Amino acid sequence: MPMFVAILISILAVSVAVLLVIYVLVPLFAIIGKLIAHVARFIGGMFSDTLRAIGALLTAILLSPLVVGTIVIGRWSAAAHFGRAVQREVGVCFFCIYRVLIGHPARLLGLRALTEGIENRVPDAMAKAPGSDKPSRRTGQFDGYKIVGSLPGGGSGARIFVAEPDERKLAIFSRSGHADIIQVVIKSFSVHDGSSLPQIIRESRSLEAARRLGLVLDHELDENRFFYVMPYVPGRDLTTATRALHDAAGPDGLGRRQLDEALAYAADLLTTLDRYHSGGLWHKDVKPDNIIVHDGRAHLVDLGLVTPIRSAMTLTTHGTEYFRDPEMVRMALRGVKVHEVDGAKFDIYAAGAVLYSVIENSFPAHGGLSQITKKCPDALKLIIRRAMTDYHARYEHVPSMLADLRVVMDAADPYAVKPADLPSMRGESPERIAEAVEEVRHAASPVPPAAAAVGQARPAPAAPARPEPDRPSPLLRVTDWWKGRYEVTGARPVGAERDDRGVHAYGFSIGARGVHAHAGPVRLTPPGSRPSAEEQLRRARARVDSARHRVEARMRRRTRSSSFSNNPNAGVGLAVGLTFGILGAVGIVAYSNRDKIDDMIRRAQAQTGAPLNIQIDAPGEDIRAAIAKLRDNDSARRSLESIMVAIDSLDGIKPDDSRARFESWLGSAAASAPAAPVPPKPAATPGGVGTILVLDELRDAAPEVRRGYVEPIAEALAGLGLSLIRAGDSPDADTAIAQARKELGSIPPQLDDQFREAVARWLATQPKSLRGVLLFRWTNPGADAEPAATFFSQRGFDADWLQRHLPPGAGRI
Amino acid sequence: MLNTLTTGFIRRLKDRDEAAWYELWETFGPVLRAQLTKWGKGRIGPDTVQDLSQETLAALSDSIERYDPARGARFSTWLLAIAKHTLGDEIDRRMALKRGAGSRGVNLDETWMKSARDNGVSPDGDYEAAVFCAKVEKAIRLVERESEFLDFEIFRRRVLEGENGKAVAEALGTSEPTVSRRLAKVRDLLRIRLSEVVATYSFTSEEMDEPQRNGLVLNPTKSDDALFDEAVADIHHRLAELQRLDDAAG
Repeated sequence: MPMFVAILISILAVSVAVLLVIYVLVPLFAIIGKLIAHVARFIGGMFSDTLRAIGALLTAILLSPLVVGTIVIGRWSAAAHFGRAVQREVGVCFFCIYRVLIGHPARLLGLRALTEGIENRVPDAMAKAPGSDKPSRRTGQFDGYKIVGSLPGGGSGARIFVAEPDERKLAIFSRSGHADIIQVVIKSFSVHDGSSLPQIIRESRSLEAARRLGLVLDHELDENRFFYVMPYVPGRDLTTATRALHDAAGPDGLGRRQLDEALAYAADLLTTLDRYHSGGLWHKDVKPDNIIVHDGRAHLVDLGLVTPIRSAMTLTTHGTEYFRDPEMVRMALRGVKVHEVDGAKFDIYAAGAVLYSVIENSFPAHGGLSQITKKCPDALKLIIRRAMTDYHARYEHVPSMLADLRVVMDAADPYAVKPADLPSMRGESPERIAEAVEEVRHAASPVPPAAAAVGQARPAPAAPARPEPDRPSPLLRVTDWWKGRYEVTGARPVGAERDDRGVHAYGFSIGARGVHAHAGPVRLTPPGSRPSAEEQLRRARARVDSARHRVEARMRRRTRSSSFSNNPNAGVGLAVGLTFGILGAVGIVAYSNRDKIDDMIRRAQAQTGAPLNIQIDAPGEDIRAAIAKLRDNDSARRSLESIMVAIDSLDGIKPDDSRARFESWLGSAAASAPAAPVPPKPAATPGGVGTILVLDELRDAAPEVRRGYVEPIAEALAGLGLSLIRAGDSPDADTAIAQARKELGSIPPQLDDQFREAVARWLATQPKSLRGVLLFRWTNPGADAEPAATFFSQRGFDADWLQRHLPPGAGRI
Repeated sequence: MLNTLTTGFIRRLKDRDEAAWYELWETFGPVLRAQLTKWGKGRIGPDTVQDLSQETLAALSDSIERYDPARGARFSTWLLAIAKHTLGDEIDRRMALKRGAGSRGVNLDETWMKSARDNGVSPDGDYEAAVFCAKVEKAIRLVERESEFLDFEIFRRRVLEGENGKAVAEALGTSEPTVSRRLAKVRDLLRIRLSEVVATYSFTSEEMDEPQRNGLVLNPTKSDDALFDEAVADIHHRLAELQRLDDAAG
């Protein structure tokens, strides 16, 4: 029975232990593991963010001199650009500091951490740096324009400048319907700047058409260069804007507000494309990087590949991968001509790809088969697919795509719109679709919500005025054969002018919303009621003045943000401050070192008693003559000598070498300067700054001995610039001598090697400034005793030199 | 053994038909880029990968003239061997330039012409899968070009995105029977195009059987349709995922 109970208890114990392990220990260790991982993440985050902050600071320091340098050479645009880069780096630095101080500790305590990825900004900043603010001499000037800045040139090799037109150009632009122009972008191709003839031809082939459309304001071609002028619109490209939209929306895709903004950009793009196509042009390079977003509007830029739709040339494969229809490449490889295809459809494909990239924040890697994984209205997916589908099945023209897009945009809930609700899916008759297309074509483009802050500036044509369609001949339609009634339909004939007052000479007009025909009698002004020619002239002048005032008022109302600005920004200020801070720090360090040098020289001066200011009065004077002149001046000579003393006192310099060279040079200078009188040789030559410890065993000697032997030597040494540590001079001197005696032991009557080695060992432990030990003692004890002086030299100090320079009257050492 | 479609395509390549080259590039370029990126990780950048993938295709025409069909290499092995040779040549050239020597390229190793099992040039599973997925994608692309937009939209929603027939019918404003009818039309076309694509880019009978092994029955009964649709959707998503990983790595 007890055995059974024991087994039962054992089983129970094992079971409890197993359960304990499974339900307590395992979770406990798991929790401990998670805690350790959590702390490790905290440490890792602190470490990496500290490094990141230091890195950002270093980057800012690296960029700061560029700001100052570009300011110095007058490249204001580049300075502003680098300033922005510095500003970003400083921002990153502060953000990392914030994470180190607040973010990571908060995360350690269980709060959600902020995440942030650092991009490699410096190469980007360097790559996008604008060129010179002024056209080079080779590029030449642009008559009628004042250059105010420059923009990055892109891949075409063109130089791009921002300019302000003069009054004459403004008047020309105003007459051509561009009254709002304040600044323009000049894209210049010069063979001297590296542009090639094919580039120039490619860029110039569509200019006349682009000018008619208002995309280009002016252009000029001569034998060396070609340039064209476009309205300037600042802003940032759609890629950047898309990234910002997705950053604001989160990982699932665009929210309602961002979606509305994105759709408005797409609508702007389609409106612009329709304008191109109506004008007989095909853009051919529609992509997010070529779309500039500013003030809530999207502007299509870059005319580099613009091609006339009816061109007789062969298709080329130019374009950008993922935004270029693969079918176009196939056609180009087959040698198809441009006029044999509908180039507008390739732009439609690109517009679909752009819309895809805005929704997905990525590029359509699989063309029309690319999956849309982010939140997107069903109908919008179909619009994208229809735009990117096969050439033959895609939208016939841009307005039909725009009509579909408008349905989604105008819906209260875009997600509720079914694909079947789109005009293109309703199976409407071709006539009805054509009407819808016309409605869309003439509708005003939508005004999207305000865009975010303006960033990078790019050249962009401002929303150009719609070109007037070709003027067809008027058509007469007979309405009543019996009575001979008829009505006029179609556009007004050539020569008819629009009358803003509503009086139409031919009964029909072209308005902002299309062609309007007016049936009924034609109203003409009777000749008798016409004002006089003088009155007409006066009225015309008044109208011109009024128009000018309106333009001026409009220009004044233009916000500052809509102009190109290369004014110093906060980054420039930071960079300048940083640069001068660094220079100041270097200066302080140098200044503190200077104090040390001054201290050393002052010490030397204190020992020689000579002033140290040495000056050669006449610049360019022969150095030897100057030296000779210095020799006339005892004070100056002593200064030179004191400097040599200072040099000799430095470690690693052999006194003999430097001094011998100096003396030799000084002597030769004197010898080669005949005009200078040879000064008398001074009584004493300094032997080096330093001290000599004096062990005086002749303290009790007769006064004659001290005066005749000890004191002359002591004075001679002092005259050489050496200070003596002698007993009785000061308590410190007494202490030093007592210490030396204690360590050297008793001085034997006959100096042996043991004592010499003891002195050498002791000197080795002393500072270099202690040049040696001078021992005064009696030799030959007894009646023949004579005073003697023995000098134990410090290592590196030449005792022979000391012996040579003792004055003749002094005793021998 | 090469079939008529394959030899015809290879003849176009040998004749320097640019359209054929573009077709090859469009179909297998992403796979080659992914493979070269994988091999050259840390040594070559995205631009070099782009160049090398084009060089790989350029080397195909020279290589195929010496191809011996009796030795049983797969199409995927062919591509792999040439890509490897192109990459090795580039690395050798760089090393030679570093040493200051010339830029003589190495000769192409033709052991790839043997069966993959024998020659040691054994492509890994991901690569094999990517090549097959590229063939299927090519077939879908062809079908998209040949189908009406609405038909293909039905196929896309019903098969690739997995929506049910009723939802597709409601979204597109049509009836369920119409959806089924149009879907069947696209599916049949896809089977035909898939057969052609597989035949064009296959050297061995093993490759010809690949669709069958992946659930793509090309001569089906009615009951095979669901399996076929599922397999197509799976392959389509797999290729998209490979592309996503490739983009992330690049």
